Amino acid sequence: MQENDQTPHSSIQDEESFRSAVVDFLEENCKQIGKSESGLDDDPERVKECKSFQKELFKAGLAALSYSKEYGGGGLTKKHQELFDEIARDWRLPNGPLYISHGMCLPMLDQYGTDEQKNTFMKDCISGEKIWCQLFSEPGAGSDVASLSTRASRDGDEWVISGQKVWTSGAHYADLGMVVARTDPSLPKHKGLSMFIVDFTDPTVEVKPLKQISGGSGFNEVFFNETRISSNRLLGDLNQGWNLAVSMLMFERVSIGAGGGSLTADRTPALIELAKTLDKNSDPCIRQMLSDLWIREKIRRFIGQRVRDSAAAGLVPGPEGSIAKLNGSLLARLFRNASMEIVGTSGQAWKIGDDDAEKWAIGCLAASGVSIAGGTDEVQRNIIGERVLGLPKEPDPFKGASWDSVPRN
Amino acid sequence: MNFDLTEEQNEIAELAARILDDHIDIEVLRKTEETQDWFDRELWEKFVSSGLIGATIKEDVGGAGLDILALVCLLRAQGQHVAPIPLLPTLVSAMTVDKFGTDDKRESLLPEIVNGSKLLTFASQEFLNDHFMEPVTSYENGLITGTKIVVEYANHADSVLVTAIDGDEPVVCIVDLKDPNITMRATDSTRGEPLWELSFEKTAADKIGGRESVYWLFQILLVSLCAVQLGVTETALKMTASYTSEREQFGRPLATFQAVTQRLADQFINVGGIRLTTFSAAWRLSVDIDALEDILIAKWWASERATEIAHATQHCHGGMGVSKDYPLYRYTLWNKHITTSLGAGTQTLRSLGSFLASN
Ligand SMILES: Cc1cc2nc3c(=O)[nH]c(=O)nc-3n(C[C@H](O)[C@H](O)[C@H](O)COP(=O)(O)OP(=O)(O)OC[C@H]3O[C@@H](n4cnc5c(N)ncnc54)[C@H](O)[C@@H]3O)c2cc1C
Repeated sequence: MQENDQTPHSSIQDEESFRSAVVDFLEENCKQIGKSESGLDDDPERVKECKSFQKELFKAGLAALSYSKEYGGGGLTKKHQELFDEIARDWRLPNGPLYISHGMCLPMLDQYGTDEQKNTFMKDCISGEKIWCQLFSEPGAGSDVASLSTRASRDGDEWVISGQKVWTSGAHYADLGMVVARTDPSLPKHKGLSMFIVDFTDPTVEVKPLKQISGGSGFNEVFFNETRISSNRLLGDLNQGWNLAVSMLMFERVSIGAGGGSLTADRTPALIELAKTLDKNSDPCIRQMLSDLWIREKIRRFIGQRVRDSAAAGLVPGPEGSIAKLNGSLLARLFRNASMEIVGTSGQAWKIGDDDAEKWAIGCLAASGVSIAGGTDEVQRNIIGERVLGLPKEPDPFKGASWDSVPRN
Repeated sequence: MNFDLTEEQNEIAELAARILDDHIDIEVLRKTEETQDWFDRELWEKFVSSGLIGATIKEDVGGAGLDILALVCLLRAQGQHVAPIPLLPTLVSAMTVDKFGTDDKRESLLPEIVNGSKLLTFASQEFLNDHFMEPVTSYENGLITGTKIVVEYANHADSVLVTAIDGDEPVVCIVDLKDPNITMRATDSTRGEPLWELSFEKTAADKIGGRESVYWLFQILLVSLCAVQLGVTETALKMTASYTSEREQFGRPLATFQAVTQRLADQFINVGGIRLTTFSAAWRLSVDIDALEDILIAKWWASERATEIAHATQHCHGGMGVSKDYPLYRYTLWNKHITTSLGAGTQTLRSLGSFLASN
């Protein structure tokens, strides 16, 4: 905690000085958002860049502002974090690879971690020293993630994890992972799950990158080959993994839908810049698309605000996360359509080495992943139907049956 | 208006489908992609030797004299198999020379296309110029100057058809690609195939035709793109129907969830829309009735609705839909490539709007 204690916290508590501290930091450490879009986060250079950026942010006492100082946070309020995010909107923060660490894993550690786990993991998570990934999905369990089959069996003081995960974002550069595994197959599917913290440097954890349509390898297959972990790596209570998973998915949906991720941060300003550069800003059709996006991004901010307010009030994000996520996925597609109209043929081909053009084209291909990652649009709609509108649930013929008695492919 | 195919057209479609079915599988596609060359020569040879390359060229220069509907059948089959061969650029260019070229030109060039010893491509698009009929590239005294973009297979073709402006008349001319006064630059593309930027600097060019030929090239290109898109979307939908019938979540096939079924049914209608509008446009063009309105409507379906199909088919595959380890992605990339070729939805609507307003 040494370096953190030297930060000028007391002086940045009032809004004015906080604001100027943030602006000073951003001016020093990152680029103003221009016409560029962020595309691939899996480039090793970007991971390095991200880590050193985060280290500076941490040193300046500006990382994870609302988290306790004891665990490496800024010891300030959610309000400060919000102000930071608002100011940072105009900047390109190279922290894409920390998206899952900070959007999902950090709040989980904070909320469910034991003191020992918080002491061991939070500071390195905040400073970007260690990068995290999250492992729910399996080849046989995507939308029906509660039916997953990765097993964790108790062996003395240890848990032994065996099974396969898939579509794990960032596993190829992650140091640690939050893994949902089945601890009791004789219970119904939602009841026998637990969440674990797994060290990815363990040689029994095997990571195989998968290629994505957008060209990069952002996600992976992960194999646990009898990976042994100590019993104090259980996060939350035994067989309570589903509740944790739901919280974590909600944190994810809030992140995807309420802003933060490179695919869903406010991007209309960049698009307007692009339209100007390509001399398309007087075209009425393009202007209409841009205005529409502008309005929708504003609405997203309101949704995000509501979600964050309820989080600030100490509530675990509920189904409003689904609303945010669903809206974010629609926005990603509208943005794709508008950007393709504006770039025209450059969206189809670009000069080799023209990174800007390539990023537009690739960003366009990545849009379809937003409606899938973090639970598909249909899954969100079902949650909204059941939990917001109170509609009856889809009948489940296997309701209450033990996991091991249910057929699955 | 009759969209039933003739016996000959049906035969062409079946022959192409048979060759493609036999030849193409994932390994073959991967191998071609690894070469970065984007040209499956073995497949091309099969197309040549079975007479498919000459099918739509007139009989006096060695072809079979079939019409644009046969062209649509061939391109649709290619799209269904996402086959990496220069079918569209070669056939469209050859048919343009066939229709507008002098007999000398036709006789010297076309037999070599039909027998596979030469390839053609075309260069019609310019950076930030959406007006096909108003190229900026100039034609003067048999020389052209200007820059064309997104040219397919320029590294393999022997000659290229170029649209240019001669005074105030747009023209189509043909240029030998070995001419030293051409600078070729490769560009990356989303489909993965290299697309070329060609800069002409007082390059010798032979005029093929005037305004009428440019207009015709514009129309046949759009119809051809729609035909490939038809095949691409047909197969993508078929793959999705079978994937969602087999994959189970919540203890039942995905396709038993009505959200999936209904979405795919909508895509069936979208594919049907592409099919009908494409055939209607092709038929009008083949019998020399003004086809512009139908062509623009077809291209709108093949862009706007095709984007919807791309997303729906990807989405119903879940993570598989965005992964390169599952074959659907090629269809998504082809779809996007065609959607953005010669103007996506809005640009097409704009052209249709000005057409309707001036008629
Ligand atoms: C870019 C990206 C990053 C990802 N990162 C991670 C990660 O870091 N960690 C992780 O654990 N997972 C990750 N995932 C996985 C993601 O959570 C799953 O892909 C998603 O939950 C869908 O599961 P699936 O792919 O098995 O699709 P499936 O569940 O097989 O779904 C296929 C289709 O069927 C539909 N469907 C399924 N059930 C229903 C229903 N009941 N009603 C209506 N329609 C239904 C779906 O909506 C979808 O369209 C990532 C995915 C993507 C695309």
